[in-house]
Amino acid sequence: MNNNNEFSNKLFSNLQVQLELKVGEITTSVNSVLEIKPGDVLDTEMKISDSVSLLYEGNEIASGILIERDGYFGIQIKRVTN
Amino acid sequence: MSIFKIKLIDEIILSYMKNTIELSPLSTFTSGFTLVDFDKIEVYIKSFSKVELYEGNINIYFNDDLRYGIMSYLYGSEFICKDNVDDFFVDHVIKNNISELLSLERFDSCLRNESSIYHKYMFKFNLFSSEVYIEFKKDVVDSLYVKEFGVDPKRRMNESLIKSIAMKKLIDVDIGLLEQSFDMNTILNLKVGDVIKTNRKKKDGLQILYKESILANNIFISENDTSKLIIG
Repeated sequence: MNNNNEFSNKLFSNLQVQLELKVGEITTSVNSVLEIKPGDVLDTEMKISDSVSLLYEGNEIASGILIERDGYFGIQIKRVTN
Repeated sequence: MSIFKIKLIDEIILSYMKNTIELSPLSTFTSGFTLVDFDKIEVYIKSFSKVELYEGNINIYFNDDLRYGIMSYLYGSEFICKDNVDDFFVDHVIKNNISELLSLERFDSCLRNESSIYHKYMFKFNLFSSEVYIEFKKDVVDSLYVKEFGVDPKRRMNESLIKSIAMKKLIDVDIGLLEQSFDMNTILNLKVGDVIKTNRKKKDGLQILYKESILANNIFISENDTSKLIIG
């Protein structure tokens, strides 16, 4: 088992995967989206403290809380999807 | 018929397929409709069986391979033989299961007849190695158009009016970050409590995303009593 893990770790050591981070979702009109410009403020019912999803090709692989780490966005994992 | 109006009708048909038949991969379908000569298609599917839904406004065409595939899927290949299936029973089974079965599949082409734009749309699926066509009749398309845009499709409209109606349509957009690169090993070994860092600086904010496109690139969230998105 350990050998398998070591093998897969080596196999994937240089590979990168592209994921989407989804903080929330809002419903708005096509018009509003097309007319967005710097300085605009949109009211939403979204809560950033709610769960943040980590998506691979639209499917959630994990969720957690949005945090800051060394000046960058990060996620503290709270749940890993099987 | 303006190209814009044709595109709107395409969108209506696609959203109808998405909402009622729930084709999950539909959101990634971007290639649009293929214009075809329906006379040729109709000759081609002449030997196909047909099941009518909604009083013939939606028709499903399929060949014998689908009959065998569905019956085998539902009842087992040893139970049913290709040559002794009762047609009426098979049609009944297909009628009651086709939507669910197609929801598992991705259609591989959408066909539209250019000369009678409101009359026919067809979706071609490959299900159980068989070709399946779904045909939408004029009345269905017209009623969906009315439902979506609140106007009669036969009414002569100028493009700006159609655009103004389309602009009021509501869509769901995501707030987040697109295409963040992570080490594969980190993701494969992810566990509760781990902290993973994105390659996006907090000072650059989040993004507004729609179907894998970035609509706005520097979004900041202010949270007091209600959340506000500030466009940077």
